[in-house]
Amino acid sequence: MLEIRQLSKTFNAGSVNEKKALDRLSLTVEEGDFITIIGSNGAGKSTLLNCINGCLPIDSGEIIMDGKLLNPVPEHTRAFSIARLFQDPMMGTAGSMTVEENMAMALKRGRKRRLAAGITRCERSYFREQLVLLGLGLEDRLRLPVRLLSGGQRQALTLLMATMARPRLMLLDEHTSALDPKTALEVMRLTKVLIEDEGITTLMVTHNLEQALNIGNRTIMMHEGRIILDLKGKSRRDTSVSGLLEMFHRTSGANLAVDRMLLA
Amino acid sequence: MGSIVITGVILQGLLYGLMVLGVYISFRVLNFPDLTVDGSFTLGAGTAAILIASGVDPILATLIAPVAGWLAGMVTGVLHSYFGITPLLAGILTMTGLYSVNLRVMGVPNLPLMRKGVLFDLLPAPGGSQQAAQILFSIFIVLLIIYILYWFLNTEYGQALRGTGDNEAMMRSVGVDTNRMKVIGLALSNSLVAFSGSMIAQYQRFADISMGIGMIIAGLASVIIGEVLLGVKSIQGKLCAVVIGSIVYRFVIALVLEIDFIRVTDLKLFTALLVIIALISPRLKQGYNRRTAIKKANEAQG
Repeated sequence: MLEIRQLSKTFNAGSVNEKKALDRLSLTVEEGDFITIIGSNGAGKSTLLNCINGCLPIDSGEIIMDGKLLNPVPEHTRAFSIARLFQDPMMGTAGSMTVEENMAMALKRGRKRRLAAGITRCERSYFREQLVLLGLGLEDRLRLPVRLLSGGQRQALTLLMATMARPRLMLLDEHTSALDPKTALEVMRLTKVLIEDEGITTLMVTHNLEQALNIGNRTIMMHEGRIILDLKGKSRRDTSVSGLLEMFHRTSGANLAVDRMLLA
Repeated sequence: MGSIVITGVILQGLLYGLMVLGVYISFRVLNFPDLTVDGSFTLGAGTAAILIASGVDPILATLIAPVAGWLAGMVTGVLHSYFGITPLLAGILTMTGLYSVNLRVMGVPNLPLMRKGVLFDLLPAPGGSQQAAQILFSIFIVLLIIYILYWFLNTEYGQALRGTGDNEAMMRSVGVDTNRMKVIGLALSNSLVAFSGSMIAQYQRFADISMGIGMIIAGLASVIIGEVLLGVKSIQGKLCAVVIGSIVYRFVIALVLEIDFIRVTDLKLFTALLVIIALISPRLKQGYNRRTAIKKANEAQG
């Protein structure tokens, strides 16, 4: 469904700050895959997602989705089939606009925008139904500007918005790491319900190793711009968090010493 | 101020209000401080004036002016969106270029329309009261434009425009070409500004190459005054508020001119001060509130 071949991306090429973020990375994603991506800071996880959705231009390599080369396609056109959730809950919604306006804009992903009413009555009742799924009481606050919501509420809303016009591919970039633990759990539950259970093909970056093994059907580990471990099926089921840490140590020769990861 | 002066000020406030609506679109909706306004206002005035002076029907001339403004806005938009020039610089570049363009359009720095029929001459004058008809007509035009903008900003397209001003990254992620949105938004904004210029030129019966200087500041002042005075939240409320802000601004200017030692040339300084006060007042208020809160806390402690 998604095929990445020999993808390379270097930041500040030719300067002292040169940083190889992606190094001839190849990855094949099957239809319905839910892949969790782990790796230390600077491993290139976010860069990978940014290259797939077109936010960053790539140096070399190919990104092919549904048999079509994505390289020349601009970000806003890729957005017709690729949805993306950011780490920062403020990034995924327009704060000055209302809950229903934000949802209406997301619903039109993949469609040309016209000079027709932005929200129809039929859409409004659909939004209300959808918001009930979140269980946050937002269905009674359709006309509230989004900036008045909490970070967790905004992220839950963004998640819902990303799935409303069902995308071919979902990219989640540590979408729970800026939230408090309780809210993070809640957003993770919604991720299961709205994305995994719906069978939407997904790439999810996370710092939480337990989460990485518990959700989805495949886990890849990145180090210095390459994939150093690819777990699926039985071998994945048999892996524990400590086993994962050990594997990282063995394959990369480095310590996955990120407190955040151990404590999470 | 006599009653004639007052109606004149209201009329000016309404006609400049069209420009303020344009500034509202760029400054507030798109979050883009667009200095093109100084040039596109004169462009609209000059275009309408030269057309009328050469015998074109004033209605047609008034309709062509916004088209010229649309193109000016597109230039700024393209410079910013597709060539990455910062908003302020893109606006200044277009504005500077427009000075020469405007002179070319007008042919002369000052173009009088004394003996020509302008839009306002087409209005009926019931009971000989030309000014009442002019005001009613201007109110009608302003309300019409406000209604169209209100409708537009609530369409799918208009939502995408507002979203672009609020959160560009998010809008791209839901499939909106934000570069194109900014070009369209600036074009729309400047077409309103040029429309306003054409109306002012016909109202005062001349177009002048310098009539747009400082226009953006007057526009910002009106937007801020309207927002502060009325404090409304809805889109339709804000659109009305900024036009009222425009009328209030013209009144303040007229009152200041009544003061003996103030010269007409002092007005720009005065306007700049007005905008500065309006912009920093929320911060001053915050600082004051914090100081009183600290004082209270200290007193409570003993």
